[in-house]
Amino acid sequence: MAPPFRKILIANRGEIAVRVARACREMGIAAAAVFSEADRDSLHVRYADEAYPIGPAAPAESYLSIERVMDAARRAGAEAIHPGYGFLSENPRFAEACENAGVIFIGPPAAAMRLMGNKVEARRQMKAAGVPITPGSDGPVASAGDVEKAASALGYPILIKAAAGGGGRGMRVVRARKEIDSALAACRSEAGSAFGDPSVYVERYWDRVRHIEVQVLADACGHTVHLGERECSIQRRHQKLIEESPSPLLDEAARERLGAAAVRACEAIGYRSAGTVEFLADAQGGFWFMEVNARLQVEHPVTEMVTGIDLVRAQIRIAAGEDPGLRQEGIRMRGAAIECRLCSEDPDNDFLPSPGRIDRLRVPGGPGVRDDSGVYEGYVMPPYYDSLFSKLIVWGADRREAIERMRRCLDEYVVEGIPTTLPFHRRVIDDPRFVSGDLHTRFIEEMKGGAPAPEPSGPMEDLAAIAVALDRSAAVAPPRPPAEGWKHAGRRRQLEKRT
Amino acid sequence: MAVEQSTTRTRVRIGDRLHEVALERRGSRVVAHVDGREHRLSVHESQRGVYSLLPLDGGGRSVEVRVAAPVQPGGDYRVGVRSRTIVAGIEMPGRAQQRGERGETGAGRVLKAVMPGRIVRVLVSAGDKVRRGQGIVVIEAMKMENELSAPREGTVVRVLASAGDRVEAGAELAVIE
Repeated sequence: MAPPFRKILIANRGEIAVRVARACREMGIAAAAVFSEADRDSLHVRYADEAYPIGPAAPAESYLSIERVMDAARRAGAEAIHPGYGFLSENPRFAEACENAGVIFIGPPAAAMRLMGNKVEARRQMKAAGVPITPGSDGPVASAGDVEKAASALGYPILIKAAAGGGGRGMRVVRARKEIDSALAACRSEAGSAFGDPSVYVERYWDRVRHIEVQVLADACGHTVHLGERECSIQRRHQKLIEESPSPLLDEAARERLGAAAVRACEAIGYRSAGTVEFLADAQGGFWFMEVNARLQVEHPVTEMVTGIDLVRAQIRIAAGEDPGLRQEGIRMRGAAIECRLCSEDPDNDFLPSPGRIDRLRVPGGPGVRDDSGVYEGYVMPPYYDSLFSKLIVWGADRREAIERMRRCLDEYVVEGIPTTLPFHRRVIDDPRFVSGDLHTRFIEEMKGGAPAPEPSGPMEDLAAIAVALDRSAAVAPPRPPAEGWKHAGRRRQLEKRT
Repeated sequence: MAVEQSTTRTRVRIGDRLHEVALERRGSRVVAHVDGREHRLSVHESQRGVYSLLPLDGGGRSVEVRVAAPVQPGGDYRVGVRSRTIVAGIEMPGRAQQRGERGETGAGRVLKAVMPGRIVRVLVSAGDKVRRGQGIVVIEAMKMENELSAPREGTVVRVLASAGDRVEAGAELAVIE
């Protein structure tokens, strides 16, 4: 069977660019990468079949520049563009630019993207489609008076959210009337500068709530299916750090209700390709629509591990107008998967981002282990982009086995040269509340008061001291013959023989 | 082939403990004395800086120790054993005395940028008294604003950066005594 496209341009970088390139390779499609000046040494450049420079390091002048990306697609002669996540993936003008250039955008139609990009509109649509929505203002709020009115109807705490925002940004929690003025002003100003639209609305806020999202795939032949849910409650500053599928909270009945609501939501807006419907859920099984992410998400691998379905391959086939054969009856969830997002941040220093050189990298392996890495040993992390450099995903026959496997993998993982969130993930995986499935959005805050790591044992400290002494004495001693010494010697001997 | 032999003495600091390490090497056999405690080991450097230690005490244990030597002389070693990192340093004779006189590690005087970025805001002026953990400058890097704070209590002697400056990693930002 001929590949659906000859060539796809990947309008992204790092681990997701490698991920998409892998799907292309499997399908016999040429993968064309783009790279900024800071990314010349990136793994995705070497991994792809072609690579096109698209400008200086600053994202606004490279990965976020529609003009430069389209120019690269033209030079490459790409038939389709995969936007990855972040950057231009939810930019309707980019989707339209592709259409105007006769290039297929691997994602939803621009109209659906635009609709979901405005959270106020999205809520209206969902309400009309019979999907329960988070209690909140019917439309945007213009004044502190509006906010106060909404708050008295909803009760505190409330959340002031940017209508054009998403991904956990552009929001402020308000716990009392006196906080409204400054929160409203800050939110409007952030929304204006970050999203180009200062309009905000109000939602009820819960401190300890669960964040559950449903993966949806919709093809161009009228089939919309859901691939189960992901539990994403372990977050910091509204950024996810650990995700899993299935959610330990849901039973089969709740899963079906949630999945059906997500499918209804996507059908109502004419959605196509991969998308995620996010819900807030409480411990009693109640759930409320929060937003639709009209793109492939960072945490998609956990869904791939439990369903056995390759979401990127499905996206590519859907974009080519094919029927990838997705039918709800044929979709099964098996076992449990957990993902840890590895970021170059120092968890002991308030997660301060720390770019630098990865001096040593040893990635775990074995059964049920998946490494979605965008880096290599010796790579220097540039400071211009996200601190996420790798994802570690494990699958187990059940949640307990997945946890044991993740614990083993986190123990096995070696990253030296930059601080990473690995120690943080190890603490979470050992936390009895994580193991018992007691997850909610304040998990990390409530974990902070944990005991500091115990001092190394006497014998272990002795061995560490010995190793340091060994290393130092080797450093000051006359140089040892290099490990490859025998190779050089062999070559030399050959040369001598010839002459 | 001659077996490599050597005898060395090194003082290794871990936390607030100072260890006297005496090593006798004969090829891959090492007899080490750490503060007088004897360890007999088979040692192979299997990869650069990665040591496979098999203690020869009949217990059959296998211990991998990864040593990341300091980037700058006098800096910290980072030693990895399983998933734990132990920070260690080499004590040169005479230096311990110097440190004792100053009464502190000397690392707290100059606040340096930990990453390249742009200074967004300077939060203090020369003469300000600051608490440990108090914000000194805000640097924009990796799409986020990050506040760098005073490592210990003191007085700001000099501010070396201004809002708008682009700085490299290691750039000196303020002197706090």
